[in-house]
Amino acid sequence: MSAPRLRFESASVRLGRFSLSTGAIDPEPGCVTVLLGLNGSGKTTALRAAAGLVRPAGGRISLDGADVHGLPAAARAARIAFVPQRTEVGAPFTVREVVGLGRVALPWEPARVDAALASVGLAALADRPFATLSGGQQQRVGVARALAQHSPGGVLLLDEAFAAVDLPETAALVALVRRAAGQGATVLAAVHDLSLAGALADHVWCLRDGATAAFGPAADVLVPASLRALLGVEVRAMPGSDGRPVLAADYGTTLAPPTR
Amino acid sequence: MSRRAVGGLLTLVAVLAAVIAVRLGLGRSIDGSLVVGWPEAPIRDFRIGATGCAAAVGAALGLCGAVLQALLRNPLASPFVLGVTGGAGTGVAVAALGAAWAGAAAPTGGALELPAAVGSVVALGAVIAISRRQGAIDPVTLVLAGVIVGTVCAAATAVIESLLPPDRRGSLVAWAFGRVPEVPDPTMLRTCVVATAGFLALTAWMGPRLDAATLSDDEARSVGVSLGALRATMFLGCGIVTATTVVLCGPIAFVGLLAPHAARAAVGARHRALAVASALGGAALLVGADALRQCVDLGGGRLPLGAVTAALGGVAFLVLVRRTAGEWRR
Repeated sequence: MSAPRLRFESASVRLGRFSLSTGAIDPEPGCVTVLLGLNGSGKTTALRAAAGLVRPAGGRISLDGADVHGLPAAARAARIAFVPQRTEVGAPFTVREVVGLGRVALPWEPARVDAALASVGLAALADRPFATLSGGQQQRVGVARALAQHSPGGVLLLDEAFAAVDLPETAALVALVRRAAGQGATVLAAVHDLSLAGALADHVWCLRDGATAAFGPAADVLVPASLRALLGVEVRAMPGSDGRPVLAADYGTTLAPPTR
Repeated sequence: MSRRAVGGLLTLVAVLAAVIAVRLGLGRSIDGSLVVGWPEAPIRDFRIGATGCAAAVGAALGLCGAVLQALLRNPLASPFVLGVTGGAGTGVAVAALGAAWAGAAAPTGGALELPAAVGSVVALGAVIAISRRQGAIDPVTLVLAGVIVGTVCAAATAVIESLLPPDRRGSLVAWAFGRVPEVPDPTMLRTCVVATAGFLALTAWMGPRLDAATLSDDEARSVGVSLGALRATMFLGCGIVTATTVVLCGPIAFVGLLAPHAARAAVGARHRALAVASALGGAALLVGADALRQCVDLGGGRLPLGAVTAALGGVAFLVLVRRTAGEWRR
Protein backbone atom coordinates (compact mmCIF):
# COMPACT_ATOMS: atom_id res chain seq x y z
CA MET A 1 0.00 0.00 0.00
CA SER A 2 1.36 3.42 -0.91
CA ALA A 3 1.78 5.83 1.99
CA PRO A 4 -1.37 7.89 2.54
CA ARG A 5 -1.23 11.64 2.30
CA LEU A 6 -3.17 13.32 5.08
CA ARG A 7 -3.57 17.04 4.55
CA PHE A 8 -5.11 19.81 6.61
CA GLU A 9 -6.17 22.30 3.93
CA SER A 10 -6.84 25.45 5.98
CA ALA A 11 -9.49 23.56 7.91
CA SER A 12 -11.54 25.37 10.52
CA VAL A 13 -13.52 23.43 13.12
CA ARG A 14 -16.08 24.91 15.49
CA LEU A 15 -17.19 23.13 18.67
CA GLY A 16 -19.49 25.36 20.68
CA ARG A 17 -17.52 28.48 21.58
CA PHE A 18 -14.18 26.89 20.65
CA SER A 19 -12.78 27.10 17.16
CA LEU A 20 -9.67 25.67 15.56
CA SER A 21 -7.97 26.97 12.43
CA THR A 22 -5.27 24.63 11.24
CA GLY A 23 -3.81 26.51 8.30
CA ALA A 24 -2.06 24.31 5.73
CA ILE A 25 -0.50 21.34 7.54
CA ASP A 26 0.97 18.47 5.59
CA PRO A 27 2.17 15.68 7.92
CA GLU A 28 4.89 13.59 6.34
CA PRO A 29 4.05 9.89 5.72
CA GLY A 30 6.50 7.58 7.48
CA CYS A 31 7.08 10.18 10.20
CA VAL A 32 5.72 10.95 13.64
CA THR A 33 4.22 14.43 13.97
CA VAL A 34 3.84 15.48 17.60
CA LEU A 35 1.13 17.98 18.53
CA LEU A 36 2.13 20.28 21.38
CA GLY A 37 0.18 22.98 23.15
CA LEU A 38 -1.49 23.93 26.40
CA ASN A 39 -4.86 22.55 27.52
CA GLY A 40 -7.58 23.83 25.22
CA SER A 41 -5.19 24.76 22.43
CA GLY A 42 -6.89 22.43 19.94
CA LYS A 43 -4.78 19.25 19.89
CA THR A 44 -7.68 16.85 20.51
CA THR A 45 -9.92 18.75 18.11
CA ALA A 46 -7.28 18.52 15.39
CA LEU A 47 -6.95 14.76 15.88
CA ARG A 48 -10.73 14.22 16.00
CA ALA A 49 -11.08 16.19 12.80
CA ALA A 50 -8.31 14.14 11.17
CA ALA A 51 -10.19 10.99 12.22
CA GLY A 52 -13.31 12.29 10.48
CA LEU A 53 -15.21 12.57 13.77
CA VAL A 54 -16.02 16.26 13.39
CA ARG A 55 -16.83 18.08 10.18
CA PRO A 56 -14.76 21.16 9.37
CA ALA A 57 -16.85 24.31 9.04
CA GLY A 58 -14.42 25.60 6.43
CA GLY A 59 -11.52 24.28 4.39
CA ARG A 60 -11.09 20.51 4.53
CA ILE A 61 -8.99 17.60 5.71
CA SER A 62 -8.16 15.14 2.98
CA LEU A 63 -6.67 11.68 2.71
CA ASP A 64 -5.15 11.10 -0.71
CA GLY A 65 -7.38 13.84 -2.05
CA ALA A 66 -10.66 12.54 -0.59
CA ASP A 67 -12.51 14.45 2.12
CA VAL A 68 -11.89 12.46 5.33
CA HIS A 69 -15.26 13.32 6.84
CA GLY A 70 -17.04 12.21 3.67
CA LEU A 71 -15.47 8.74 3.57
CA PRO A 72 -17.79 5.83 4.41
CA ALA A 73 -17.27 4.75 8.04
CA ALA A 74 -15.81 1.35 7.16
CA ALA A 75 -13.48 2.75 4.51
CA ARG A 76 -12.24 5.37 6.95
CA ALA A 77 -11.69 2.73 9.65
CA ALA A 78 -9.57 0.71 7.23
CA ARG A 79 -7.15 3.61 6.80
CA ILE A 80 -7.32 5.72 9.96
CA ALA A 81 -7.00 4.37 13.52
CA PHE A 82 -7.66 6.71 16.43
CA VAL A 83 -6.76 6.27 20.11
CA PRO A 84 -8.60 8.64 22.48
CA GLN A 85 -7.23 9.79 25.81
CA ARG A 86 -9.22 7.12 27.59
CA THR A 87 -10.82 3.94 26.31
CA GLU A 88 -14.31 3.56 27.80
CA VAL A 89 -16.19 0.30 27.45
CA GLY A 90 -19.84 0.11 28.52
CA ALA A 91 -20.01 -3.68 28.68
CA PRO A 92 -18.11 -6.32 30.67
CA PHE A 93 -15.80 -7.36 27.82
CA THR A 94 -12.48 -9.13 28.23
CA VAL A 95 -9.27 -7.46 27.10
CA ARG A 96 -9.14 -9.62 23.96
CA GLU A 97 -12.73 -8.71 23.10
CA VAL A 98 -11.98 -4.99 23.43
CA VAL A 99 -8.94 -5.28 21.16
CA GLY A 100 -11.05 -7.28 18.69
CA LEU A 101 -13.43 -4.32 18.35
CA GLY A 102 -10.78 -2.75 16.14
CA ARG A 103 -11.75 -5.29 13.44
CA VAL A 104 -15.53 -4.75 13.63
CA ALA A 105 -15.79 -3.10 10.23
CA LEU A 106 -12.83 -4.97 8.73
CA PRO A 107 -12.20 -8.62 7.80
CA TRP A 108 -11.90 -10.66 10.99
CA GLU A 109 -8.25 -11.66 11.57
CA PRO A 110 -7.73 -13.15 15.05
CA ALA A 111 -3.98 -13.36 14.46
CA ARG A 112 -3.84 -9.57 14.19
CA VAL A 113 -5.70 -9.22 17.46
CA ASP A 114 -3.26 -11.58 19.18
CA ALA A 115 -0.27 -9.81 17.62
CA ALA A 116 -1.57 -6.42 18.74
CA LEU A 117 -2.04 -7.70 22.29
CA ALA A 118 1.46 -9.14 22.34
CA SER A 119 2.96 -5.95 20.95
CA VAL A 120 1.73 -3.91 23.94
CA GLY A 121 2.72 -6.63 26.42
CA LEU A 122 -0.81 -7.64 27.39
CA ALA A 123 -1.04 -11.18 25.96
CA ALA A 124 -1.04 -12.63 29.48
CA LEU A 125 -4.03 -10.50 30.45
CA ALA A 126 -6.07 -11.24 27.31
CA ASP A 127 -8.86 -13.04 29.13
CA ARG A 128 -9.09 -10.63 32.07
CA PRO A 129 -12.15 -8.33 32.29
CA PHE A 130 -11.13 -4.97 30.84
CA ALA A 131 -12.67 -3.11 33.80
CA THR A 132 -10.26 -4.79 36.24
CA LEU A 133 -7.14 -3.34 34.58
CA SER A 134 -5.28 -0.27 35.83
CA GLY A 135 -5.56 3.03 33.96
CA GLY A 136 -2.20 2.53 32.26
CA GLN A 137 -3.06 -1.02 31.21
CA GLN A 138 -6.39 0.19 29.82
CA GLN A 139 -4.52 2.79 27.76
CA ARG A 140 -2.32 0.02 26.35
CA VAL A 141 -5.48 -1.92 25.44
CA GLY A 142 -6.66 1.18 23.55
CA VAL A 143 -3.37 1.27 21.63
CA ALA A 144 -3.64 -2.48 20.91
CA ARG A 145 -7.20 -1.97 19.63
CA ALA A 146 -5.92 0.68 17.23
CA LEU A 147 -3.01 -1.52 16.14
CA ALA A 148 -5.42 -4.41 15.41
CA GLN A 149 -7.30 -1.99 13.16
CA HIS A 150 -4.28 -0.23 11.69
CA SER A 151 -2.96 -1.31 8.31
CA PRO A 152 0.74 -0.88 7.56
CA GLY A 153 1.06 2.47 5.88
CA GLY A 154 -2.21 3.80 7.32
CA VAL A 155 -2.81 6.79 9.55
CA LEU A 156 -2.41 6.44 13.34
CA LEU A 157 -3.80 9.19 15.58
CA LEU A 158 -2.82 9.12 19.26
CA ASP A 159 -4.42 11.55 21.70
CA GLU A 160 -2.26 11.48 24.84
CA ALA A 161 -2.50 7.74 24.51
CA PHE A 162 0.40 6.98 26.89
CA ALA A 163 -0.36 9.52 29.63
CA ALA A 164 -1.04 6.94 32.35
CA VAL A 165 1.46 4.30 31.17
CA ASP A 166 4.52 3.53 33.31
CA LEU A 167 8.04 4.35 32.06
CA PRO A 168 9.20 0.91 30.81
CA GLU A 169 5.96 0.37 28.91
CA THR A 170 6.08 3.92 27.55
CA ALA A 171 9.53 3.15 26.15
CA ALA A 172 8.13 0.02 24.51
CA LEU A 173 5.19 1.96 23.06
CA VAL A 174 7.53 4.66 21.72
CA ALA A 175 9.49 1.95 19.91
CA LEU A 176 6.24 0.46 18.63
CA VAL A 177 4.99 3.76 17.23
CA ARG A 178 8.33 4.58 15.66
CA ARG A 179 8.35 1.13 14.04
CA ALA A 180 4.84 1.77 12.62
CA ALA A 181 6.08 5.05 11.18
CA GLY A 182 9.11 3.24 9.78
CA GLN A 183 6.69 0.95 7.92
CA GLY A 184 5.08 3.96 6.25
CA ALA A 185 2.39 5.03 8.70
CA THR A 186 1.49 8.68 9.08
CA VAL A 187 1.45 9.18 12.85
CA LEU A 188 0.03 12.20 14.68
CA ALA A 189 0.45 12.14 18.46
CA ALA A 190 -0.75 14.75 20.94
CA VAL A 191 1.45 14.74 24.05
CA HIS A 192 2.09 16.88 27.12
CA ASP A 193 5.22 15.09 28.30
CA LEU A 194 8.21 16.86 26.74
CA SER A 195 10.53 13.87 27.11
CA LEU A 196 7.97 11.81 25.20
CA ALA A 197 7.73 14.53 22.56
CA GLY A 198 11.49 14.46 22.13
CA ALA A 199 11.54 10.67 21.85
CA LEU A 200 8.72 10.48 19.31
CA ALA A 201 8.85 13.54 17.10
CA ASP A 202 10.12 13.82 13.57
CA HIS A 203 7.97 16.90 13.10
CA VAL A 204 6.22 19.12 15.60
CA TRP A 205 2.91 20.95 15.22
CA CYS A 206 2.48 23.62 17.89
CA LEU A 207 -1.03 24.88 18.66
CA ARG A 208 -2.00 27.92 20.65
CA ASP A 209 -5.53 29.15 21.30
CA GLY A 210 -7.02 27.17 18.44
CA ALA A 211 -4.49 28.18 15.80
CA THR A 212 -1.21 26.84 14.47
CA ALA A 213 1.71 28.51 16.21
CA ALA A 214 4.46 26.56 14.47
CA PHE A 215 4.97 23.50 12.29
CA GLY A 216 8.28 22.07 11.26
CA PRO A 217 11.04 19.54 11.81
CA ALA A 218 11.62 18.56 15.43
CA ALA A 219 15.17 19.82 15.30
CA ASP A 220 13.90 23.33 14.56
CA VAL A 221 10.84 23.44 16.86
CA LEU A 222 11.82 21.36 19.88
CA VAL A 223 14.24 23.93 21.21
CA PRO A 224 14.03 25.57 24.65
CA ALA A 225 13.30 29.06 23.37
CA SER A 226 10.28 28.14 21.26
CA LEU A 227 8.96 25.68 23.87
CA ARG A 228 9.24 28.35 26.57
CA ALA A 229 7.20 30.71 24.41
CA LEU A 230 4.59 28.04 23.70
CA LEU A 231 4.24 26.39 27.10
CA GLY A 232 5.29 29.06 29.60
CA VAL A 233 7.91 26.94 31.37
CA GLU A 234 11.67 26.90 31.17
CA VAL A 235 12.77 23.82 29.23
CA ARG A 236 16.13 22.07 29.51
CA ALA A 237 17.48 19.98 26.65
CA MET A 238 20.31 17.51 26.50
CA PRO A 239 21.40 15.06 23.86
CA GLY A 240 19.96 11.56 24.15
CA SER A 241 21.73 8.28 23.45
CA ASP A 242 19.88 7.86 20.14
CA GLY A 243 20.61 11.38 18.97
CA ARG A 244 17.18 12.68 19.85
CA PRO A 245 16.90 15.46 22.42
CA VAL A 246 15.97 14.64 26.01
CA LEU A 247 13.66 17.44 27.10
CA ALA A 248 12.44 18.32 30.56
CA ALA A 249 10.54 21.19 32.10
CA ASP A 250 12.36 23.10 34.83
CA TYR A 251 9.46 23.70 37.16
CA GLY A 252 11.64 25.62 39.59
CA THR A 253 11.81 28.50 37.15
CA THR A 254 8.87 30.86 37.28
CA LEU A 255 7.88 32.51 34.03
CA ALA A 256 5.08 34.80 33.08
CA PRO A 257 2.22 32.68 31.66
CA PRO A 258 2.13 32.59 27.87
CA THR A 259 -0.21 35.01 26.16
CA ARG A 260 -3.65 33.39 25.77
CA MET B 1 -19.50 -18.12 18.18
CA SER B 2 -17.34 -19.31 21.08
CA ARG B 3 -17.71 -22.70 22.75
CA ARG B 4 -18.80 -20.93 25.95
CA ALA B 5 -21.55 -19.08 24.08
CA VAL B 6 -22.85 -22.26 22.44
CA GLY B 7 -22.83 -24.07 25.80
CA GLY B 8 -24.61 -21.15 27.46
CA LEU B 9 -27.29 -21.03 24.77
CA LEU B 10 -27.95 -24.77 25.06
CA THR B 11 -28.21 -24.40 28.85
CA LEU B 12 -30.74 -21.57 28.47
CA VAL B 13 -32.79 -23.62 25.99
CA ALA B 14 -32.88 -26.45 28.54
CA VAL B 15 -33.88 -24.04 31.34
CA LEU B 16 -36.65 -22.56 29.20
CA ALA B 17 -37.96 -26.02 28.29
CA ALA B 18 -37.99 -27.01 31.96
CA VAL B 19 -39.79 -23.83 33.05
CA ILE B 20 -42.38 -24.26 30.29
CA ALA B 21 -42.98 -27.86 31.41
CA VAL B 22 -43.48 -26.68 35.00
CA ARG B 23 -45.88 -23.92 33.96
CA LEU B 24 -47.93 -26.25 31.77
CA GLY B 25 -48.30 -28.58 34.73
CA LEU B 26 -49.48 -25.90 37.18
CA GLY B 27 -52.83 -24.16 37.46
CA ARG B 28 -55.64 -23.06 39.72
CA SER B 29 -59.01 -24.74 39.80
CA ILE B 30 -62.26 -22.78 39.92
CA ASP B 31 -62.35 -23.10 43.73
CA GLY B 32 -58.86 -21.52 43.88
CA SER B 33 -56.86 -24.62 44.87
CA LEU B 34 -53.54 -25.39 43.22
CA VAL B 35 -53.75 -28.12 40.59
CA VAL B 36 -50.70 -30.03 39.42
CA GLY B 37 -50.78 -32.19 36.32
CA TRP B 38 -51.62 -32.17 32.64
CA PRO B 39 -55.28 -31.10 32.29
CA GLU B 40 -57.95 -31.76 29.71
CA ALA B 41 -59.21 -29.17 27.19
CA PRO B 42 -60.15 -26.36 27.53
CA ILE B 43 -57.95 -25.82 30.65
CA ARG B 44 -55.02 -27.26 28.70
CA ASP B 45 -55.56 -24.69 25.94
CA PHE B 46 -55.66 -21.87 28.50
CA ARG B 47 -52.32 -22.95 29.92
CA ILE B 48 -50.77 -23.28 26.47
CA GLY B 49 -52.08 -19.83 25.54
CA ALA B 50 -50.74 -18.21 28.72
CA THR B 51 -47.38 -19.96 28.43
CA GLY B 52 -46.92 -19.02 24.79
CA CYS B 53 -47.88 -15.45 25.53
CA ALA B 54 -45.49 -15.19 28.50
CA ALA B 55 -42.65 -16.74 26.48
CA ALA B 56 -43.15 -14.31 23.58
CA VAL B 57 -43.41 -11.22 25.79
CA GLY B 58 -40.49 -12.30 28.00
CA ALA B 59 -38.30 -12.91 24.96
CA ALA B 60 -39.21 -9.51 23.53
CA LEU B 61 -38.46 -7.65 26.77
CA GLY B 62 -35.19 -9.54 27.37
CA LEU B 63 -34.01 -8.73 23.84
CA CYS B 64 -34.93 -5.04 24.15
CA GLY B 65 -33.15 -4.84 27.51
CA ALA B 66 -29.93 -6.20 26.01
CA VAL B 67 -30.09 -3.73 23.11
CA LEU B 68 -30.82 -0.72 25.34
CA GLN B 69 -28.04 -1.64 27.78
CA ALA B 70 -25.57 -1.77 24.87
CA LEU B 71 -26.64 1.40 23.07
CA LEU B 72 -26.90 3.46 26.25
CA ARG B 73 -23.82 1.84 27.87
CA ASN B 74 -25.83 1.44 31.01
CA PRO B 75 -26.37 -1.84 32.90
CA LEU B 76 -29.54 -0.43 34.46
CA ALA B 77 -31.29 0.28 31.15
CA SER B 78 -34.44 -1.65 30.24
CA PRO B 79 -37.77 -0.83 28.58
CA PHE B 80 -39.47 -0.48 31.99
CA VAL B 81 -36.77 1.54 33.75
CA LEU B 82 -36.51 3.93 30.79
CA GLY B 83 -40.24 4.60 30.66
CA VAL B 84 -40.72 2.86 27.28
CA THR B 85 -43.25 0.45 28.73
CA GLY B 86 -45.08 3.30 30.46
CA GLY B 87 -45.17 5.31 27.22
CA ALA B 88 -46.71 2.40 25.36
CA GLY B 89 -49.26 2.03 28.15
CA THR B 90 -50.25 5.67 27.85
CA GLY B 91 -50.60 5.19 24.10
CA VAL B 92 -53.00 2.29 24.68
CA ALA B 93 -54.98 4.31 27.25
CA VAL B 94 -55.25 7.28 24.88
CA ALA B 95 -56.57 4.97 22.14
CA ALA B 96 -59.14 3.53 24.57
CA LEU B 97 -60.28 7.00 25.62
CA GLY B 98 -60.45 8.22 22.03
CA ALA B 99 -62.64 5.27 21.07
CA ALA B 100 -64.92 5.88 24.06
CA TRP B 101 -65.33 9.57 23.25
CA ALA B 102 -65.99 8.75 19.59
CA GLY B 103 -68.66 6.25 20.62
CA ALA B 104 -66.73 3.40 18.97
CA ALA B 105 -66.20 -0.08 20.35
CA ALA B 106 -63.20 -0.60 22.69
CA PRO B 107 -60.13 -0.98 20.45
CA THR B 108 -58.33 -4.33 20.35
CA GLY B 109 -55.59 -6.00 18.36
CA GLY B 110 -54.06 -3.95 15.59
CA ALA B 111 -55.96 -0.80 16.61
CA LEU B 112 -53.78 -0.65 19.74
CA GLU B 113 -50.42 -1.44 18.14
CA LEU B 114 -49.83 1.95 16.53
CA PRO B 115 -50.72 4.16 19.53
CA ALA B 116 -48.63 1.89 21.78
CA ALA B 117 -45.66 2.10 19.41
CA VAL B 118 -45.97 5.88 19.16
CA GLY B 119 -46.16 6.16 22.95
CA SER B 120 -43.09 3.99 23.52
CA VAL B 121 -40.95 5.73 20.90
CA VAL B 122 -41.97 9.19 22.15
CA ALA B 123 -41.18 8.20 25.77
CA LEU B 124 -37.77 6.79 24.82
CA GLY B 125 -37.00 9.87 22.70
CA ALA B 126 -37.92 12.13 25.61
CA VAL B 127 -35.73 10.20 28.06
CA ILE B 128 -32.74 10.29 25.73
CA ALA B 129 -33.24 14.00 24.96
CA ILE B 130 -33.45 14.86 28.67
CA SER B 131 -30.32 12.90 29.54
CA ARG B 132 -28.08 14.28 26.79
CA ARG B 133 -25.47 16.73 27.98
CA GLN B 134 -23.01 18.25 25.53
CA GLY B 135 -23.77 15.51 23.02
CA ALA B 136 -23.24 12.62 25.45
CA ILE B 137 -25.81 10.65 27.44
CA ASP B 138 -25.25 10.95 31.18
CA PRO B 139 -25.91 7.48 32.69
CA VAL B 140 -27.29 8.73 36.02
CA THR B 141 -29.56 11.32 34.38
CA LEU B 142 -30.71 8.64 31.95
CA VAL B 143 -32.06 6.40 34.69
CA LEU B 144 -33.57 9.34 36.59
CA ALA B 145 -35.22 10.64 33.42
CA GLY B 146 -36.56 7.15 32.68
CA VAL B 147 -38.06 6.85 36.14
CA ILE B 148 -39.64 10.31 35.87
CA VAL B 149 -41.03 9.76 32.37
CA GLY B 150 -42.33 6.33 33.40
CA THR B 151 -44.01 7.84 36.46
CA VAL B 152 -45.57 10.65 34.42
CA CYS B 153 -46.83 8.11 31.89
CA ALA B 154 -48.31 5.96 34.67
CA ALA B 155 -50.03 9.04 36.11
CA ALA B 156 -51.37 9.99 32.69
CA THR B 157 -52.67 6.44 32.22
CA ALA B 158 -54.40 6.60 35.62
CA VAL B 159 -56.03 9.93 34.75
CA ILE B 160 -57.24 8.53 31.45
CA GLU B 161 -58.64 5.49 33.24
CA SER B 162 -60.68 7.80 35.46
CA LEU B 163 -62.11 9.51 32.37
CA LEU B 164 -63.27 6.25 30.79
CA PRO B 165 -66.91 5.16 31.09
CA PRO B 166 -67.25 2.80 34.10
CA ASP B 167 -68.00 -0.23 31.94
CA ARG B 168 -64.65 0.17 30.15
CA ARG B 169 -62.46 0.85 33.17
CA GLY B 170 -62.22 -2.68 34.52
CA SER B 171 -60.31 -4.23 31.66
CA LEU B 172 -57.87 -1.31 31.44
CA VAL B 173 -57.17 -1.38 35.18
CA ALA B 174 -56.50 -5.13 35.12
CA TRP B 175 -54.29 -4.67 32.06
CA ALA B 176 -52.36 -1.81 33.72
CA PHE B 177 -51.21 -4.18 36.49
CA GLY B 178 -49.58 -6.45 33.91
CA ARG B 179 -51.12 -9.85 33.25
CA VAL B 180 -50.74 -12.82 30.93
CA PRO B 181 -54.02 -13.53 29.14
CA GLU B 182 -54.98 -17.21 29.02
CA VAL B 183 -56.71 -16.59 25.72
CA PRO B 184 -54.46 -14.07 23.99
CA ASP B 185 -55.71 -12.15 20.98
CA PRO B 186 -54.21 -14.16 18.07
CA THR B 187 -53.43 -11.02 16.05
CA MET B 188 -51.62 -9.33 18.91
CA LEU B 189 -49.70 -12.50 19.80
CA ARG B 190 -48.70 -13.04 16.17
CA THR B 191 -47.56 -9.43 15.87
CA CYS B 192 -45.45 -9.75 19.02
CA VAL B 193 -43.84 -13.01 17.85
CA VAL B 194 -43.10 -11.71 14.34
CA ALA B 195 -41.75 -8.38 15.59
CA THR B 196 -39.56 -10.08 18.19
CA ALA B 197 -38.23 -12.69 15.75
CA GLY B 198 -37.44 -10.02 13.17
CA PHE B 199 -35.76 -7.74 15.70
CA LEU B 200 -33.80 -10.69 17.10
CA ALA B 201 -32.48 -11.54 13.63
CA LEU B 202 -31.57 -7.87 13.04
CA THR B 203 -29.85 -7.59 16.43
CA ALA B 204 -27.87 -10.79 15.95
CA TRP B 205 -26.76 -9.58 12.51
CA MET B 206 -25.71 -6.23 13.97
CA GLY B 207 -24.11 -7.89 17.01
CA PRO B 208 -20.51 -6.84 16.27
CA ARG B 209 -21.64 -3.25 15.68
CA LEU B 210 -23.50 -3.30 18.99
CA ASP B 211 -20.30 -4.58 20.62
CA ALA B 212 -18.43 -1.56 19.25
CA ALA B 213 -21.26 0.80 20.22
CA THR B 214 -20.37 0.14 23.86
CA LEU B 215 -17.17 2.15 23.29
CA SER B 216 -17.22 5.95 23.57
CA ASP B 217 -18.87 7.68 20.60
CA ASP B 218 -15.53 8.75 19.14
CA GLU B 219 -13.93 5.33 19.46
CA ALA B 220 -17.02 3.51 18.15
CA ARG B 221 -17.15 5.72 15.07
CA SER B 222 -13.40 5.45 14.55
CA VAL B 223 -13.64 1.64 14.27
CA GLY B 224 -16.19 2.05 11.49
CA VAL B 225 -19.63 2.07 13.13
CA SER B 226 -22.25 4.53 11.84
CA LEU B 227 -23.61 5.27 15.29
CA GLY B 228 -26.48 7.53 14.22
CA ALA B 229 -28.00 4.96 11.88
CA LEU B 230 -27.41 2.11 14.33
CA ARG B 231 -29.07 3.96 17.22
CA ALA B 232 -32.03 5.13 15.15
CA THR B 233 -32.68 1.61 13.86
CA MET B 234 -32.32 -0.12 17.19
CA PHE B 235 -34.22 2.45 19.28
CA LEU B 236 -37.11 2.30 16.81
CA GLY B 237 -37.00 -1.51 16.94
CA CYS B 238 -37.05 -1.49 20.76
CA GLY B 239 -39.99 0.91 20.76
CA ILE B 240 -42.04 -1.20 18.37
CA VAL B 241 -41.25 -4.54 20.01
CA THR B 242 -41.94 -3.19 23.51
CA ALA B 243 -45.23 -1.77 22.26
CA THR B 244 -46.33 -5.21 21.05
CA THR B 245 -45.67 -6.62 24.54
CA VAL B 246 -47.59 -3.84 26.30
CA VAL B 247 -50.60 -4.27 24.05
CA LEU B 248 -50.61 -7.98 24.86
CA CYS B 249 -49.76 -8.10 28.57
CA GLY B 250 -49.67 -4.53 29.89
CA PRO B 251 -46.56 -3.09 31.52
CA ILE B 252 -44.25 -5.87 32.78
CA ALA B 253 -41.46 -4.66 35.04
CA PHE B 254 -37.80 -5.65 35.17
CA VAL B 255 -37.72 -8.69 32.86
CA GLY B 256 -35.86 -6.51 30.35
CA LEU B 257 -33.40 -5.52 33.06
CA LEU B 258 -32.66 -8.94 34.55
CA ALA B 259 -32.67 -11.21 31.49
CA PRO B 260 -29.57 -9.62 29.83
CA HIS B 261 -27.59 -9.91 33.08
CA ALA B 262 -28.50 -13.57 33.45
CA ALA B 263 -27.70 -14.10 29.76
CA ARG B 264 -24.29 -12.44 30.11
CA ALA B 265 -23.42 -14.86 32.90
CA ALA B 266 -24.27 -17.72 30.53
CA VAL B 267 -22.79 -16.63 27.17
CA GLY B 268 -20.54 -13.61 27.79
CA ALA B 269 -20.97 -10.01 26.68
CA ARG B 270 -20.77 -10.23 22.87
CA HIS B 271 -24.09 -9.20 21.45
CA ARG B 272 -24.64 -11.78 18.71
CA ALA B 273 -24.98 -14.56 21.29
CA LEU B 274 -26.23 -12.20 23.99
CA ALA B 275 -29.27 -11.16 21.94
CA VAL B 276 -30.41 -14.77 21.55
CA ALA B 277 -29.56 -15.60 25.16
CA SER B 278 -31.43 -12.56 26.48
CA ALA B 279 -34.53 -13.57 24.52
CA LEU B 280 -34.31 -17.11 25.92
CA GLY B 281 -33.63 -15.81 29.42
CA GLY B 282 -36.49 -13.30 29.25
CA ALA B 283 -38.89 -16.02 28.11
CA ALA B 284 -37.76 -18.31 30.95
CA LEU B 285 -38.07 -15.49 33.51
CA LEU B 286 -41.60 -14.49 32.56
CA VAL B 287 -42.88 -18.05 32.17
CA GLY B 288 -41.23 -18.82 35.52
CA ALA B 289 -42.84 -15.78 37.18
CA ASP B 290 -46.21 -16.86 35.78
CA ALA B 291 -45.65 -20.36 37.19
CA LEU B 292 -44.66 -18.86 40.54
CA ARG B 293 -47.82 -16.82 40.81
CA GLN B 294 -49.88 -19.98 40.31
CA CYS B 295 -48.40 -21.23 43.58
CA VAL B 296 -48.91 -18.05 45.62
CA ASP B 297 -52.33 -17.06 46.96
CA LEU B 298 -52.37 -14.37 49.62
CA GLY B 299 -56.13 -14.65 50.01
CA GLY B 300 -57.20 -12.71 46.94
CA GLY B 301 -56.47 -15.29 44.28
CA ARG B 302 -53.45 -15.32 42.00
CA LEU B 303 -51.20 -12.30 42.17
CA PRO B 304 -51.00 -10.00 39.14
CA LEU B 305 -47.98 -11.02 37.06
CA GLY B 306 -46.70 -7.44 36.96
CA ALA B 307 -46.66 -7.39 40.76
CA VAL B 308 -44.57 -10.60 40.89
CA THR B 309 -41.98 -9.35 38.39
CA ALA B 310 -41.88 -5.92 40.05
CA ALA B 311 -41.33 -7.41 43.51
CA LEU B 312 -38.57 -9.78 42.37
CA GLY B 313 -37.07 -7.32 39.91
CA GLY B 314 -37.05 -4.41 42.35
CA VAL B 315 -34.79 -6.30 44.73
CA ALA B 316 -32.56 -7.42 41.88
CA PHE B 317 -32.42 -3.83 40.57
CA LEU B 318 -31.08 -2.58 43.90
CA VAL B 319 -28.48 -5.36 43.96
CA LEU B 320 -27.42 -4.44 40.42
CA VAL B 321 -27.13 -0.76 41.31
CA ARG B 322 -24.70 -1.64 44.07
CA ARG B 323 -22.72 -4.33 42.27
CA THR B 324 -22.47 -3.57 38.58
CA ALA B 325 -23.07 0.09 37.84
CA GLY B 326 -19.58 1.09 38.92
CA GLU B 327 -17.83 -1.93 37.41
CA TRP B 328 -18.92 -1.43 33.80
CA ARG B 329 -17.51 2.04 33.27
CA ARG B 330 -13.94 2.77 34.23
